[in-house]
Amino acid sequence: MFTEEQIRRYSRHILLPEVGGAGQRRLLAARVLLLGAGGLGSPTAYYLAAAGVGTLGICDPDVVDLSNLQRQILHAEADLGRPKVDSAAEKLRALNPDVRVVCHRTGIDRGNALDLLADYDLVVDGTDNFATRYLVADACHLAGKPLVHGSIFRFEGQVTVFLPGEGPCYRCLYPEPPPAGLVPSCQEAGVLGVLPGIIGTVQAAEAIKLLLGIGRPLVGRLLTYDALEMDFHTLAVHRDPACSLCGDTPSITALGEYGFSCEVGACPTA
Amino acid sequence: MPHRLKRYLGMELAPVAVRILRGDPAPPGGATGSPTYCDLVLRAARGERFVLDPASVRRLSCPNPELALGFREPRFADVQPRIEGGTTAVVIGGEEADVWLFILTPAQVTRLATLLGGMQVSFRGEMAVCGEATAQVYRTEKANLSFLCQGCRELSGYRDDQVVVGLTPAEVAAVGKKIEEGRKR
Amino acid sequence: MKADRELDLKGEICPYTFVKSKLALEEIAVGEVLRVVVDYPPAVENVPRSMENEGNEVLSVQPIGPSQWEIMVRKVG
Repeated sequence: MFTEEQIRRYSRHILLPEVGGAGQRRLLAARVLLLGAGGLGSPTAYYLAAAGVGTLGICDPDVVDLSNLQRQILHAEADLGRPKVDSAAEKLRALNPDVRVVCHRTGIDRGNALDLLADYDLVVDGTDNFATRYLVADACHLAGKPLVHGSIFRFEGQVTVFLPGEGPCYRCLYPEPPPAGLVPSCQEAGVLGVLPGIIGTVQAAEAIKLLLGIGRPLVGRLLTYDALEMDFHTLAVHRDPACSLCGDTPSITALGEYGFSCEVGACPTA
Repeated sequence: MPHRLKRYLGMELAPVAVRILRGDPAPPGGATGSPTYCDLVLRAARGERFVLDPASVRRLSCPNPELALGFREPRFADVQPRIEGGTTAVVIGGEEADVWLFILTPAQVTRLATLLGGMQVSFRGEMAVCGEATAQVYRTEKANLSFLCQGCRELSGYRDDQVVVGLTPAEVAAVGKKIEEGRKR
Repeated sequence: MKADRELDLKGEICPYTFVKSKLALEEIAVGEVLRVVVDYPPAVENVPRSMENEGNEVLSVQPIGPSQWEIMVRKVG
């Protein structure tokens, strides 16, 4: 049963035939893990909290830095030096007390990944380095968790959805990580501040669709966005039967070493 | 004429012509989706044109206009103001009007009321744009003012300082003439 | 007629008459009957119409007091 406040708060969802009371209850019962409370994680977390996703896990090891505030809208000047998970939790609880925010003040690694995922129905990747992305993709596949992938670079971003057992996985798209040194780090490359706002919001929309089971998710499709051209494209991506993770005879059956990383220090969140 | 009034009052949005067809077949192109009548009026004020036929009026997310505009008769309790059943289509936007709807601020209503030589208004905040501003003006052939209804305030895109006045084409012409004469003097 | 669920909408106006009756119908099983009490005149016409538009069967609408009505609806789909 909804409370009076919930009926008013979620009335615009309840009015939609595709959501209704049943869909809103699904959202309230859903548990989503956000990896990163940075540029991508900020809008995703805000919209998922506003939508009434009942449990939001936020995983981020970092503290708020002044250079984050150009794009990471969960955090404010008063939060400088605070753990991002704490700053995020405070904003999200203020927005919607229906949401239980679970703070994981840690990075995700091969040691904790499967334990972290176990408590959640769906994962949204807002991390910004190849090591973590491969780890997250492998862990979600092995744990059978849907993964909403997003990434940004300078003026361009992309989003896709990986559903274990349906469509391609991250390794079908990018079989091997790029050689260390070839990819500029986030510090070197720069990023347009509004870009993660757009990409993170698309990730939130995909997450909500998956939780509700409505529409056509970006499974087997890679959405790319170019802010300079103001152009969205959707490319078909196919499952690779020879894929080392989801192929017919996979070679990856457990989490391995993910030594390659961002060149200059750690930059776990976009 | 309605456009002269728009300039004179300094209106932000264009007056909206509402044509009520009784017995004539509905023009093609019934409105799609499930907007509200109030939404369609607001969009028509920005230049769009919509046709409500019996099928599209049933798809609206608010069921009031079906009754207020005379697409059906009430079954359980009389609800006013409304046009008697027999409407076959309503065209929102364009140039042909049985009722003109003006989206105004209170200050603009002040000036309009003076031009009209006063208004006897009647509103209760229910069935507002469809009933108070459209159906009642159509039936009584007298201008009326509506402060909109709660559903419209919540679901449609009106600002808190926007109200809707319905005028007959004759009133629009008379007011237009007054403005013209005022300029000559 | 016995209702499986009661919904008191006295004091409610649009759009919450609709939102709440829609929620109440979602919460009962197909074939069950919902009794809705309203005191907002447009709701006497609106609530039954919205429920029909969503495919349900309106069994009766009756005045039960001064400015109060009872709407009986059977959930169909």
